[in-house]
Amino acid sequence: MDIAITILNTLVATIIFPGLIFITALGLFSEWFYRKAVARMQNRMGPAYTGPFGILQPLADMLKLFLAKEVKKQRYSSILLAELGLVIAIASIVASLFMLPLSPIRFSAPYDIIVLMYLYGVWHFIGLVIAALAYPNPFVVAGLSRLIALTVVIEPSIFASLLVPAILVSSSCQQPFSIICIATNSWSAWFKSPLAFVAMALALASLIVSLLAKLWLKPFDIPEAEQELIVGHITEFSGGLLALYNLSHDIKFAFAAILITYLFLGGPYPYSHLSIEGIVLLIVKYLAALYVLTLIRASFGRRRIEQGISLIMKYSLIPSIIAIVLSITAVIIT
Amino acid sequence: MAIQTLVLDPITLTLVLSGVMTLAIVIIYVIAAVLRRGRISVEGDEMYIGGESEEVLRNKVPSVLALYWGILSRAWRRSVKYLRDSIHTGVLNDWYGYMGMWLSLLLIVAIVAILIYVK
Repeated sequence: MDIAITILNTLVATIIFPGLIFITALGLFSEWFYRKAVARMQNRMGPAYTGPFGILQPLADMLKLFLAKEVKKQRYSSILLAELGLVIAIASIVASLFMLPLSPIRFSAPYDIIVLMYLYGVWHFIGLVIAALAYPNPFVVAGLSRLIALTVVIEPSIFASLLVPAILVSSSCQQPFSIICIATNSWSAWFKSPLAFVAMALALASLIVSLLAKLWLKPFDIPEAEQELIVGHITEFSGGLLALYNLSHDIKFAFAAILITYLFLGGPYPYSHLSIEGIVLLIVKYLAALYVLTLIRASFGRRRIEQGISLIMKYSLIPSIIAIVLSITAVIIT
Repeated sequence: MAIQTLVLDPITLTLVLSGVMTLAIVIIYVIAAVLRRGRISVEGDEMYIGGESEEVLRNKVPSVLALYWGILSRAWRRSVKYLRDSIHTGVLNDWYGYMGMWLSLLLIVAIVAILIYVK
């Protein structure tokens, strides 16, 4: 009976909260926030007509692509593979959400930080590669080779950054290096010692840089590079496929802000999720994470691929490794 | 729905979350297929222009070698240039030296691995 209830709860959570409906709504809201904020920074209006303050514009764009536009079949393409790849990319993030305290049904295990990287780092990327390769084109292959080259540096940087709060807080948890342990205790990791504070600050900065690169936001929009490669790995996508791709990008954007909010800023803690203070704190931290990502995107122009890779190494990979050393030192000293 | 935390071991967790992922894949795929409702345009699909010959374009995916060299020559341009200049000198002895160096390193690694394994 208990197992049946758990399976039913998991099914409901997969479809409604924090699964498909919630993460889609959050992704579309995040896209609106991003478009509006960048537009204001660039002295433009941004979305204004659909819904209050244009908040429904991303939904309208998605529905138009799904319901009114056609998927263009190309001579050597496979629509089935492209759809499957994009769906895998979205589903990998939906599954990752079950490891965060945001979910009413949470799955946890010791060292499950590796499972998060397996879903978010490996499956999401594989899904995108399958989708891009299903529509061969010289621009697609050029964009994809850039994407793979960036990923080789991005994923170790993200993993190294996430390890820092895990190292600092694991001694106070029953399941060491678990996502729930990091999310519930990361707010206190900042105040453990001055060394721990420096390690957390370095790791947070590294994570922001590597997440910007994973989202291909400027200065790392190198795989898309409009003026050089049309739009790189998504050149051939149209109609429903483009809608799915845009949705996968929005969901990835929202998940990036959720990761920063929970694993570095501590989510609603020390308050509970169901208290007013907790909800307000969670929303403020989430919007702050979105705003920082947006601000950096609006402040830079695109770099070349080798400049992009050296930027990630300089400002993300090396600082995150230094942060790991500092966090281990902080744990040993205390 | 009450908040429920299930503590598993890492392998079971991977299997459970892979199951959740598969469930999400099925749901999203069905929704996307229903929304699209077969709106596929094949107009002009014979006019595909690519920079490669027919036998390359016919492949569903580019060759692994093409992707490998695409990544290497774009991302690690300086390293590739350095290696090319140091190995492709046109002098056979340079090539022998380079290959000898790598094979010796592999031999040493293999011997160390065997010694550790036997212990």
